[in-house]
Amino acid sequence: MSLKTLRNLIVVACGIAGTGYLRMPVEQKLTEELRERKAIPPPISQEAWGQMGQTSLAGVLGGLRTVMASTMSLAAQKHFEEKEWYDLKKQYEMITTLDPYNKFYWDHGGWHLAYNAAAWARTNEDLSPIRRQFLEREFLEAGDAFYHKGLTMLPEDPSLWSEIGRLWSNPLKRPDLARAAAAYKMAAQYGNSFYKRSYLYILARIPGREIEALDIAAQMLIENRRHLSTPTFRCILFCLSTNPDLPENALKVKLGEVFVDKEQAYKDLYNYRPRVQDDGYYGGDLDKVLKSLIEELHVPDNLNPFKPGSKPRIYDNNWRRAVDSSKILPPKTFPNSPGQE
Amino acid sequence: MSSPSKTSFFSPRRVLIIASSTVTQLVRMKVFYFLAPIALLFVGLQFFDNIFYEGPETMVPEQQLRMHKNICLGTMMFFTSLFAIIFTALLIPSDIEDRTLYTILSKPVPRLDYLVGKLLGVISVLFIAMLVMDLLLVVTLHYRTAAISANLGHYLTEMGLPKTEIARGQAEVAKHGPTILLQYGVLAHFSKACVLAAVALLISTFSTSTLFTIASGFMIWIIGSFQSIARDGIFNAADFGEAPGLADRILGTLISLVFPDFQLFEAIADASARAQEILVDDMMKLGGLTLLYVGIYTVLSWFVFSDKEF
Repeated sequence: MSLKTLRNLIVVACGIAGTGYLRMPVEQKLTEELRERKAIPPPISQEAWGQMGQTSLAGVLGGLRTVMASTMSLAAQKHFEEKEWYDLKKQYEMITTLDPYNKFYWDHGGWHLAYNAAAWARTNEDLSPIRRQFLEREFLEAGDAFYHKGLTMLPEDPSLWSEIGRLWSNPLKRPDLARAAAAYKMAAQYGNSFYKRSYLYILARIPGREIEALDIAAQMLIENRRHLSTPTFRCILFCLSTNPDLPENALKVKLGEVFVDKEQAYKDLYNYRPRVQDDGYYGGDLDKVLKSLIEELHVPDNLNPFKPGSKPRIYDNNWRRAVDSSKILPPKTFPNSPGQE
Repeated sequence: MSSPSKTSFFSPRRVLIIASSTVTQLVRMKVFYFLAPIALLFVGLQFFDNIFYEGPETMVPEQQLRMHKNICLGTMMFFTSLFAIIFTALLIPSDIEDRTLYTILSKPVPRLDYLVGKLLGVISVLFIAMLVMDLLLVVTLHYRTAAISANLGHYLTEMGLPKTEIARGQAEVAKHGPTILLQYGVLAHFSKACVLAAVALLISTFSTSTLFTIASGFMIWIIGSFQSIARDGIFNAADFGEAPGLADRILGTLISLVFPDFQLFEAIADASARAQEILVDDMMKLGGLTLLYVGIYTVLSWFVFSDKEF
């Protein structure tokens, strides 16, 4: 190497290092700002580096993290089709390492594990019943853990909390309503009215937490009276307020304060009754109130839940037919009902 | 008798002439042919639909658009970065080989003008290529967004949702369409390509082999994507649990000082693909860094090139 080349190299190195010294704090500050706003993902862990295949490694080294995540999510479909659940889990762990702020991957990975893998385990007749149960539980927990891991990246995302709530309140899984309520509580904290109502609905299904549920319903009503436009909310609020164990100062609503008229009250409560019977929603004085409304409105037997035979859900059209062909009285309005506000 | 006019230190006119001849030189190398398969890829993505994105449980229409953007932006970044290195690495050796360099430098053309002209020529070609790819992206994404939005509207109407909810869902989809945020991502990738071109120019002033310039350019591209890890180790040593040793600190400092940080460019582009908010201030800072990188590499290239003998 000639002296001139050496001199050039030294000058170039000094020039680059000198400007490097000036730009380093600026770059670090911008990096931290972007990281705080979650525009820059956290560094890839040593473990993840080790698990990466050659193609993904090359992609990541070239600065194509999100592109690799997209293509890997397509490849994950193959594991799903082949029912290679552990490979699928590993694949989604890698995908979420590469693109951790994409909710879709957390949602999808959790869904594959908690729903698809768990359902496969539950219905797989090649396995012994104990093994089936063990595996199903394992995949349910893996799905739950995956959602929770996603929440460490997106802690304020109500939809991931809601997914956990949905998982543990799903009657086709292994419902754990307390876990579902805890998740829905978080979703309600960050989310909109829908998540708040979901939290209330779960609480109304947990024996012993009815008073807490009524408190939540009352609070929701103070925040926004439009919740009363949702039939399930109306029914739950009314039934919870018929709880005989309520303390003195608890909210107690009358039928007329919740429903527009007796016809609406009957239709809603009639439709709510199967939820009480099948899903464990709080019923309170539901049957007593329904019976009195049946008497007042002269409800025909086919829409009377206490008469034998299958009972269809009441919609406007079948209710209208029943009204036209029987002696159901015109809707009786309540004084000061919500509809007259 | 007129006195001989003194050659100015830097002439934008001369630079523009050299830049335009560089563009012609590169166009003759048929560099724009790569746009044909890219156009096919972008259009082909329009018809790429995954069954596993369908169904109520996984109804996330934005993800299809996000994937479209990720693949398109990734392709744009890959090709512009690749060509930024290769084109620049080829230019000076090509000028030496066909003796154009001697013709130019025997005239009163300062070497700075020559280098800046060459770099500007490469950047212009990259800009044209990026513009074409960006247009393709915007058009294909526009149609994709419209189709997905219409599908979503149809699906939500069938579910009986009120019009306000449908409009809200469609507005969410529109956010992932061709917006200004997307252009920030394209701009970030273009800026990165400009820095890589300037890096390759600096290396090519030293190097005697095109292959060495290309290989070194690629290494800097790769190391630049991880430079921030080394820098984090210096600024946020506490976050790494165990404090790095002396050797690690020296290595980290050297990497941070010498190599450009490409993660910032990639982060902005990724955030734009996620339709995440990017501030004008962020773009200004990124623009400032790009100018600093291109400026310093060009000045250093000039320093090395100024007394280079051919």
